[in-house]
Amino acid sequence: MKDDANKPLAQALREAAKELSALEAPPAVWSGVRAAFERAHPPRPAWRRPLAWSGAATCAAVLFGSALLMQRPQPVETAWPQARSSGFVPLLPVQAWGDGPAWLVAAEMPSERLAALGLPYDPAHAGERVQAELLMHASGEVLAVRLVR
Amino acid sequence: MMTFVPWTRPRAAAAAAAADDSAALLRRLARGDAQALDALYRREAGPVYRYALALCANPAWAADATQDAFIALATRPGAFDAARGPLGAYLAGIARNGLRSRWREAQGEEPLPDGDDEGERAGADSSGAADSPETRLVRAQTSAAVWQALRQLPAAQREALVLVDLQERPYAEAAQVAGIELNTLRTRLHRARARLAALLAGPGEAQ
Repeated sequence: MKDDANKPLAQALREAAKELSALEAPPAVWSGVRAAFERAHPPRPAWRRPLAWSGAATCAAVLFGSALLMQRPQPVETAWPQARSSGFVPLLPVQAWGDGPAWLVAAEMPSERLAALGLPYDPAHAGERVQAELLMHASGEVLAVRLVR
Repeated sequence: MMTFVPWTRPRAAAAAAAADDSAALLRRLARGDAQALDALYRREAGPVYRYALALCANPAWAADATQDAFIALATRPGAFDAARGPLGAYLAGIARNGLRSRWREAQGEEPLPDGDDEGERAGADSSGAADSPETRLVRAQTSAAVWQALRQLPAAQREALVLVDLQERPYAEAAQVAGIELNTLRTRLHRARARLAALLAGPGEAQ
């Protein structure tokens, strides 16, 4: 349609094309398609979903880890004197530590916390997390902290 | 510093990108990913529906044909073979088959031809000059007149015109949707344009 004689026709077709391009399939079409898709792909039962298994595995790992942690109580009554001279920084006055058992608990903390605890802190490693050990009283109070790495 | 960028035809590049995208979406669809279906539907449903509607001029039939095409895709995505053409052509082809079934059921309606219909109504093609066809054509260029004239075209010619002139599909894709050779498509298109021009120009021109 390049010759002049067809210009009016080309114009008419352009108008029709423009009009046609404004039309969309009715929403009911999508509803029918979606329903057919869902019939063909029914949702899996919860126990068959990969996410469910990974969630269960995570829970099991946490429980197992907690059990291990609870099984490694430190006889701190005899260890306390050692702890006091083994790099632990007391967070409570030693006189206030009281009696009773205590545990060593592995922990991770932001490196910025080291400065607040009076431990060596390199600002170049700001934002990183460091491994530490907490000396925790049976009451839940953290008595002292030690930088591991 | 100037960077050399190889020249590519924008339309070809866009088609290649769409094909890649379709392949990825179809893989996800085959795994039951509803979002992939949603993306494919948003991209392809409009052209398929418009093709069907322009062909049959019946919104309900066009909607059904579009739905059939997408249900086929949603439930059997593996049936699409990218080596045979783009996804849009595949879906339009399914819609076309759906319309043909409806036409067969509703006897009296005009069916799409299986093969060539170039001999059909060939005498209706008009190339004769009238007193002032351009003037009358301009007057006839209302939307209703154009659509009415389109409906008067033989189905095969109308299909060629819809695919190429109204939907601006590449000739190869249009031929694939219509299930005909490229040369046949060109011939049908030429005749469709001539006949449409005659119909728009006035009653005396089309016969």
